[in-house]
Parts: sequence; C-alpha cells; structure tokens
Amino acid sequence: MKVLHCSWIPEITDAFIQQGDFWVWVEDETESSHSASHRHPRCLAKSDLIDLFESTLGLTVSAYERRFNFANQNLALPTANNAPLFSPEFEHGADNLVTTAVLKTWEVDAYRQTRPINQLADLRFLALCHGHDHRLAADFQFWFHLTQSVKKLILRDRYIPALIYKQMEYEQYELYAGWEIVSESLDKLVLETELFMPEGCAVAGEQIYNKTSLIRHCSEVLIHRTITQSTSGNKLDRRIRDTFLENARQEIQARSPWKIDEGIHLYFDWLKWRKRLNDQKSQAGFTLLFQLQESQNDFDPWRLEILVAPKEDPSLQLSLSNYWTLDTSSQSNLASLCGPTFMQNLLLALGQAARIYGPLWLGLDQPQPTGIDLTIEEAFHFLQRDAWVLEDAGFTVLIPAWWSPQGRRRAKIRLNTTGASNSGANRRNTMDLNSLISYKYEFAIGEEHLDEAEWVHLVESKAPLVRFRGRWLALDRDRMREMLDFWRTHQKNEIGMSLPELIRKSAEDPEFFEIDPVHALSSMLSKLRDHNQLEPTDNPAGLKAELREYQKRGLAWIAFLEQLGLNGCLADDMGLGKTIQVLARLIQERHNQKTVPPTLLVAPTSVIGNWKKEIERFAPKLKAFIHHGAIRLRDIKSFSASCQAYDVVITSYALARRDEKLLSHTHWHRIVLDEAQNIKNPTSAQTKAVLKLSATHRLALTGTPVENRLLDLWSIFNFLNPGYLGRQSQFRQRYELPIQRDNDPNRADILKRLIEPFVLRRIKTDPEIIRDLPEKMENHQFCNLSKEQASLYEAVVRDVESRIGNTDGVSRQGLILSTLTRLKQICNHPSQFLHDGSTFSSERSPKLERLCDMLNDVMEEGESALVFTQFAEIGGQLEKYLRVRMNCPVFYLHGAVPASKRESMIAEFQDLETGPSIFLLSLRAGGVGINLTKANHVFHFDRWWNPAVEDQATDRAFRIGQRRDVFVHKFITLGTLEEKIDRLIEEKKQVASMIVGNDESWLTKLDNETFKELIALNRFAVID
Amino acid sequence: MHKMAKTWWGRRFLEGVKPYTEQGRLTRGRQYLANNRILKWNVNGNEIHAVIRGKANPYHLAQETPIYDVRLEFLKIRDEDWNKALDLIGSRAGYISRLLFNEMPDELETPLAELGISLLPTYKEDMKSSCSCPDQDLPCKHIAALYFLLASKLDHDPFLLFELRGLGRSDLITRLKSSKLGAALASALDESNPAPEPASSFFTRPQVQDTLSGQISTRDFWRGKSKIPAFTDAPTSVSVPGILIRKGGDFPAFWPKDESFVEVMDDFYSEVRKGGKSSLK
Repeated sequence: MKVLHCSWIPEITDAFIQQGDFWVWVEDETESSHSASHRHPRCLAKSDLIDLFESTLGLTVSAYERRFNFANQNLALPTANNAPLFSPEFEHGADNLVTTAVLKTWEVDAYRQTRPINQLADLRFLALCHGHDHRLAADFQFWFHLTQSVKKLILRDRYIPALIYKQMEYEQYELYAGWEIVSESLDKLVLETELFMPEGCAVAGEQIYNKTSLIRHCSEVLIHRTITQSTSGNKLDRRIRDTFLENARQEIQARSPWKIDEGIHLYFDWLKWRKRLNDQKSQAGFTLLFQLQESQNDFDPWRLEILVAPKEDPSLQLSLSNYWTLDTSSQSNLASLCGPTFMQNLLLALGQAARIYGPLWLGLDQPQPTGIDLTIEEAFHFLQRDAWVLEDAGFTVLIPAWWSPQGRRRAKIRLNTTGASNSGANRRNTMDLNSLISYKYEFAIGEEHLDEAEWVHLVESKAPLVRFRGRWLALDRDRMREMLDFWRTHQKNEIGMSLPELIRKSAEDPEFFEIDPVHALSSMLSKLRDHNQLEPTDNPAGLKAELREYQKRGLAWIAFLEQLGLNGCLADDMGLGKTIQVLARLIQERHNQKTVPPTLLVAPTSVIGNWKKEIERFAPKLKAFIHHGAIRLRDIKSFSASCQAYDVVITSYALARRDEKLLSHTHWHRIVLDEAQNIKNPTSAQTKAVLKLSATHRLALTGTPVENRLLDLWSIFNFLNPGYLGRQSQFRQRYELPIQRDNDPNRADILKRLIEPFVLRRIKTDPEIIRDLPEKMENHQFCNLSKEQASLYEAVVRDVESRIGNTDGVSRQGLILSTLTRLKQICNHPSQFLHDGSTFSSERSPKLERLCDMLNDVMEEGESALVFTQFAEIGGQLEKYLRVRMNCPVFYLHGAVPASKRESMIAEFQDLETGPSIFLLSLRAGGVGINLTKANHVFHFDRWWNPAVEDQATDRAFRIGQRRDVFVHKFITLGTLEEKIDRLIEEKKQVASMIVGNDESWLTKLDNETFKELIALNRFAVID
Repeated sequence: MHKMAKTWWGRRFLEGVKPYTEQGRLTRGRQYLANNRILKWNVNGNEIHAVIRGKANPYHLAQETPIYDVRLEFLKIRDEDWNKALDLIGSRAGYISRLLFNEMPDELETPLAELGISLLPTYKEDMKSSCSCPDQDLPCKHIAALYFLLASKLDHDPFLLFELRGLGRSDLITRLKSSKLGAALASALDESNPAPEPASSFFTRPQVQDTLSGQISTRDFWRGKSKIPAFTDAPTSVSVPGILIRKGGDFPAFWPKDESFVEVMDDFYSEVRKGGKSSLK
C-alpha cells in the first residue's frame, strides 16, 4: 500500500511577493534499502514516483516536468525512535498508539503540481479507483478540498482587480497590481477549512505556520496563478493595455511595482470603488427585496415591487409603496430600524440593483420609487434569469410559487398503459414476467390532460407565460415541440415497452415522460420507489421464527418484484436478517404453488454451512442440499434429476465457476447470490460464470453499501437486469466519471432514481428500524472446518477415546478440560493448536475467513466491533493478522497491558475521529471499567461454554441500554463439539446458568459415552 | 471620434467646443494631452488653469521649450437656476442613484433644457478661453489640450462641472440637503479620501508560529478538529459574469479606457473560467 501526501510549501523569503507550491510525495509501506540517514526511509524515489504516476495511475509526466518539477523537499514529520512514524492511513502500522512524538526533518523526493486544482482532483480520483492500494493522506485530502473551494470562488467570479499599497520609508509608497478575493468569501473559506485542517498541513517544510495565514496565502497565490495562467487572448491584452489590469495579469514572478504618475489618486479611486462594492452588504441595516406579482388576467401588466426588510427584524418586510404613504414619524422610525443613512443606502442599493437589472432605472424615475411594471416577456425573463442574478448579487427575490421547482406544472408526455385495467387479474397478466407493456402517449400539463389541438395551440402561442385553465404557467416551447414531434412519430407505434425500460425512461428524463398518476402502473412504481408503501406480509406458516416488521416488508418487496418479473438487490445492513427474509420467501411461494422448482443459492464457501444450518433451524420443511466437495455430483443428467427433489441447492462461487456447465444446464426457479459483491469484478471468470446461469428470478444479497462503488453496482445490476444500466463503458461515461470524479449531483440523482426501485437497503441507525429491534440481536455464525482442522480434530478425538476409559478422578477431569481446550484451539486455527508458528492464514480456518469477511462488512458500514477470545495466544495472532488484512485501527487488550496504556487505547477507540475500528479483548482481560460503546458489533470468536460469562463480557462493554443496536455474533464450527454444546445450551437455556455454574467444569460431570458423543466429529459438516 | 472621453457628458462637452475650434488644433491638442504636455492644472471657482509645455518654434523666436498658461473661465449659472436644477435632481431617485456612483444621469439633460438650463457650455459665451502662446487665433492647440483634459476629468467627476458653473462643492452639499433624496447624495459627497491600507506583503504572509522543537500530539498532527468533508459540491459557474463588479457601476474612476469596464471584465472573467493553460484545465 502507498499513501499520497501533499504539502503547500511557501517560499522562504522576506521579499514583498512570497509565493509557494504544492508538492506531492508518496509514502511507501516498506523501507528502501539504501537511504542516507536524513532521508525518509519509506518515501518513493523520483524514478519510482514517476513510475507510479505513469504506469499505475496512467498519467503522463513530461520531460520538462521531469527536469524542473521534481525536487528534494525537507519535511518536518512526527518521529519516534529516529524514524518517521507511519501516517495513520497505514492503519495496521505499529504507530497507531504513539500519542506524542517530536518533529524531525526528513528529505523526500517531491513532485511540484503546477496546475494543482486539476492535478489534485485527478490524483484523488485515480487513487480512489485503485481501492486499497493507494490511499490519500489527510494532508492530501485537506489540500484537495481547499483547491476545490478555491476553484468554486474562481468559477463564481469572486475576485476583483486590486491595488496593493506598500508603505516604504520616508512616506514613500509603491503600488502593486493584483487580485483580491472578495473578503466575505475568503473569510468564510478560511473559517470553514481551518476547522478540519490537520496540524500537519500547517507544518510546511521545516516551519510551523499559523493555519489561517497559510490558508490565506495558499488561496491567494492559487487564484493569482490561475488568473495569470489563463490568459490566452491578445484581444483582451489590447483592451486592458495601460491599465493596472495589464500589470495584474502578468506572471507573478515578473510583477514589479506599478509606476504611474497619478498612482495615489488611482489608488484612492480604487479604494473607494471597492468600498462601494462592499457597502451594501456590510453597512446597510436592511435587505432589499424584489417581489414579482403576477397579473390577474391576460391584459394587465405584471409588477415587480421593491421591499425592504431590516436586518434586525427580517420578517418585517415593508414595500416601498407602503413606506412612502407612512407619516413622517413612522417613516423615520422605520428608517432608523434600517440603520444609519437609510435613504443614501437605499438609493445606493437601488442603483446597484439597477446596474444588474436595467429595467429598474425606469422605476427610479421619480422621487418615491416603488417598483416597475413588466410585460409578460419581461416577467418571463425576470423569472428565468434576472431573478437569479439579483439573488446572486445579494438581493432577495420573491417569486410566485408556481415557478418554484416544487410548484411548477410541467408539460410532459404521459405514458398511459392500455389494455391494462385496474382490476387485479388483468393487471397481473399484463405485468407478468417478460411481458411487454403496451401504452399510449398523451400530453399533460401538471395533472391535466390535453389533446393535440390544445397542445399545438400552446406551442404556437407567442407568449412565454400563459394562463392555462386559470393559472399561470411557463412553457418551454422548444421542448414542447420536441414532445409533439415525438408524439406524432410514436402515437401509432404499438410496440410495447418492458417494465425496466419504462422505469428507466421515467428515471432518466422525468421532465419528459411521466406515467399516468392515476394508473395502477404508477402506484406500482411509487411502491417500488418508496418501500414504506408496501404492506408487510404475514409471517409465512412454516417459518420457525417471527419476522420483524421491516422483514415482513422486505418479504413483500421480494414477492412484489418477482411478481413483476423484476430482479432486486436486498442490501440491508449486516445483522438485519437478510437470510431469514429469503427463507421466508422460499416458504411463502410454496404456499401458493404446489411444486416450485429449486432455487440455486451461491454463497462464499465460508457461509455455506451457515445457510444449511439456518434452513434446518428456521425452515426445516425446505429440502436443501449442498453441492460442494470432492464427492459432489458431476454428471449433468443425474445432477439435474436430483436437483428437482430439492427446494434449495447451495453452492459456492468457486464451484459456480468450476461446475459452470453443470449448473447452467438447469433452468433454476431462482438464483440467490449471497454476498453479491463477489461478482463486483465484471471481468473475472467467476462473474462471467454466474452470468451464464439461467433462472426465472434473480436476487442479490449484500451487506455493503453498493451505491458507493459504482462499478460494483453496475456489475451486480448486470446480473440482475442486464442492459438496464447500459454497457459498462457507457455507464462509466454517464455515471461513474461524472459522479465519482466530478461530483455531479444531477447525475447522482438520476442514478439514484434508476436504481431505487431495485435496491432495498435498510440501515440499522434508521429510527424506524431501531424501533423494531430488541436491545441486543444475537445470531450464530456457523462455519465449517477445513480438511486440516478436521484431521487434527479427529486425531485428538481418537487419542482421547483411547485414554478416557483408563482415567478417573482428577486426572479424568484434567483430561476432559484439556481436551476441550485442544479441540477449541483446533476449531480456531490449526496453528494455535500446533504451536508451531506456522502460517496464520484464513485458508486453514474458515472461521477466521468468515470473521474477516464480517469485519469487512462492519467497516464498510462505518461501524466498529469488539472481538472476544478466551485465548491470549490467538489474540496476539489475530491482532497481527487483522492489522494487515483490515486497513483500520486494531487494538488488543489482554492481561499484560498496563492500566495506563489500557486507558489510552480505550480513549483512542472511543474517539469518534478514530473512525471504524476493531477492539480485540481476551475474555478475562476485560476487567472492570471498560466502556466500549462505540462498537455495536460483538464477535465471540471462540465459545466459553458458559453463556453467563459471554453475556457479562458483552454487557460490560455496553452497560445495558447505552446502545440499542448491538449485534452479537457467536461463531460455531459445524460438526464439532461447539455445535453440540451450543445446542445443549440452547435447549436448556432457562436452566443453563444453574447447571453450568461459572466455568466449564460442568462438562466434566458427563459420563464417558456422553462425552465421546459430544466431541465426535460429524464428517458431513466438513467442507473442502 | 473623441477618444479622450468615454462618458456621454464628457463627449458632449467636446462636441460643444467643436463648432468653434479648428479641426487641426483639436487633433494637436489631443496629442498634447497624450504626450503629457500638461504639466499641472487646478480648478479655482469657475476657472480651470493649466500649465502646458509648448514646442520650440523658430518662427515665434522661441528657441527653448516655451511654457504657456492656459485658462478656461465658465459662465456661472444663476442662483435661481441652480435651485431649479437641484430641485429637479432631488425629485428623481434614479438621478441621485447615478450621481452616487459619480455618473451624470443622461435623462437629466432634457428636463433641464426645458427649464432653460444647460450644465454643459452650449454657447461660445458660456466658456471663455485664454492662452499665453503667441498664436492669435483662439482657441489654440493648448486650449484644445485643456478641453480634452477637462473632458476626461468630467468623466470621473461630474461634480466638477457644477463647480465650474458656479456651484462649489460645499455650496452644492448645503443645497442638496433641502430635499430628502438630495440629502442622501450630500452625505456621500461629504466623504473624504479613505486612508490607504498599507500591506506588508503582496500575498498574506504565512506567519511562522512555532519552532520544531518540543513534543507534538500525533493525532492533532494528522487530524483537524473535525472530519474533512468527503466531497465538495461540484463547482459551478454563474449565469451572468462579474455580478460583483457590476454593483460598482461602470467606468470606475481608476479605469482610464473608453471601453466599458464592465464589458472588459465580463470577458476577462469568462476567459479565466475557461481556464486556458491554468489549473482549471
């Protein structure tokens, strides 16, 4: 992994003009072999830096740049033990807990960004595309943010030409031409950005600067440079010749004092001018308002009224026409409310407004101005453009509600489906799978329907604003003509449109198309868009669990989509029970239909066992079989035949690829993809294999927020509804780049509307959902043993079986307890049992793999987790392993951690600024006084066969009731003693605490046969 | 054609002198101004006086560069006419609004003429001129140079015309105060030059705050007081350029050109927004 850094480094100079530059450098994970003592041991050298930019990120570094824009920079960085600390983006780095350090200067190879606004944005985007391999340091993110804010100021013309007065000795002065950011805008920028500016950004080179001054310096230099670099036209050069603008546009390097004879007069003229620009805002005690009043008929003029509102009491809006009719004392009362020199400020403000909106001069042609009359065209232009311009200039504009985006009635083509009546039976037929919806186009304005003649009449009327059925309305004639053409070409077209196509059309261009709101289709679409409109389904008989309210709604959603022949993605937060909703659907559909062909469930290998287990537990009537392992069916015929005897066939992604032919031969009733992010890479063989499977229905499950990674989203949609989001390249052009690189809110909106009907995502922080949840949600995660684990396990069992008959008393008790420990160690990980320092990898333990997957989901959701284990030995290994795998802070609290360090760990973890993190605890080290309420997931990696101990651990971290959304995940390896003891405890839950006391010695009271039975391995549960 | 004046009243002044000034002299006068031959000038009541560097001319036996005194004297407008004019000005918010921005309202001309008043000299008698040069034909090129100078001064300061026609600044302010609108203008005219705002550096100078020695908190080093917002909204342009500078009125006093300052700045802003070779591209 590499971390991109950026620094704004001011020149070290006392000169009047002090510039600065952005320098990018890259921090690597590993040390380079040969580095001088003052060099940063982990910074990328120039050649590697160029290579990273060109080969990895795909940028070009020109020969000129190579020569002039690379340099060594000395940077002061936090240092401990004579080495620069890892920046926190290397979250697994060992430096997380170093709380104080000294600053020491390190030399790095850095790359000057001469066009930083764009370059930083590109770098950021490319780094994001590279996922976890390249991260942006906080300093980079900060400066990116600042450059974008400066860009905003430039695009909004928030700067003015300026003269800078330099006082010299003996009353002498020099004037420099330059640019000034409007003080109001710059102040706001400084105020906002300073809040989130890391101290490190103020350490530039070897200096520690005051933050405010550095932000100002950087913004000013950046704006100046952008202005001077943007000059291209000679025409403009000529037009500003001999003015100080000419000077202000020269490169800053060449800037010298601006010498003219009447310099000081010019400076005063400029100063007064600038003061006038600011006057309105800063000095006047009132706001000027303009209110557009519509005409009550087709003939009278419209009216623009001028109003004032005192800043002290903005709700007091008084029109000038009222003001003039007041008696003198009331007038002066009001004037005094509006601050000193009201009349002068009013006239200034009116003059300023009239300069922006010329027609106002007419209204000023009298001693007591009140407003102006407008023709219909003028009113329209005012609404379209002038109103916004006036607003932008700081005036308040009040316009009729029908013009606002909410209140506007728009001209649209309305789709009215034909042949589909509102009656139930008929509706079902029309919307059945793959059916085309036949429709006709109609004209509509707002809610009202128009015939062609009316439409043509409106298109041909000249006025931009018309009274349509008694109310005013703005019409976009070009657009209406376009619609008319469309209507004329398509009205006879009887070819239908598929439902997804229809949804896409109305999502992509809601200004053009609309679905008749009174029609069933429309209510159906609104149900798809707003899931709260779905009626929760009853708990299906045969489901051995009581669905929560939102789960019933989820079930209704799946059923509704499938009924419409659409395919969706259930993306509820982890822990909200996606599995149970799917099982409920499988049971439910079997109520309506005698025989339902089998559903194929594709899941990561590590959760296959868990699915099977959940089916047995919650839906025992469903017949399920696992297609996995060496002894699986391989013959197409016999596989197809045997499948038909089952309701669910469970397989893994790996096999979906390997047995592609076998699996694609059957037409499935449904394919369910669990952890659908497994097909996020559209080019992987796994994804391609999954796409080849054929099924009537498709359902994707994922716990990660898909909407954040657009390519993943596309890939999942490509499985669900192929073609709906276009080809991948189209999708990239239309959505991915505009949204993720350019932050285009319109595109993001369209995409949201497009996917909304197909994605059901409930998050557990949603108050609606929280209401449905108990204080603590417990679930069991069943995992399999690896082959290696199974053989180790069996060896131990054999050994114990041979020995247990020959022992008694204390030694028997010891044997039993040590056996329990050894078996638990094996279930955790072979290396824990073997104590041989062998690789601690997830391939050797599905349980470990499952833990990582789930922790990943937790992190993706921006949440934190506690992981309990009773073995200090595996705690240490887990800590190391998770640090490497997880890219988030990992803390480990065990018995040997001194109290002071414990405090700082807890504080660091609890700090909201730390972000999602993992806290590992050895079950016994918890002790008193830990308060880890930031986590809402608790994992019990191994089991303490005493529910009271586990509960205590969980509760101690939470102090009952501090959070309402706590999820407890208990890992259980299938086919082992863990599963059996778990069942034992579950069965005797009520009396459990009585029997089991406070340790595991109750197990020693079992007789030999029972104990053997308890520890025996069920080979069927092993998956390879 | 009169490139030396850019506002309508400056131009109108020049048009007024054209009929009785020979074209060749006008052209020479303009060159005199452009070549900085006007060494100094000042206004005293209804008189404007300038010192102009002439040219050595053997014909006039002037071997060394001669210096000439040039004078324009304006006919004062009668007191009662001033009252009428100021009443008129005080009766229209628009007039005051424009004058507040140092602009002479063009709509003012006709109603004033109806009252029989013309602020700009219309007849030869409205403005007497004299020059110390040997040229016997008046107005000479030096006087013409002063015309051009005056026109450009009027561009920036319409009140100069009031002064030359007999209404001094303090008098003007006192009389304006009689009407409500006029009072607003009077208080603005009363303002004197603001004090210079000296800057110690061209760009804000980054202030060195601390030395590198001493312990720092690593978390503060890497993190600000609040989280860095993940996204900024997409920066968008404005629909009308340079709204801000429009508020200052056109032809600000520091702008020496004939072309509208606002128009130049409009194009300037849009060029910067387009990016060119800058960071935006």
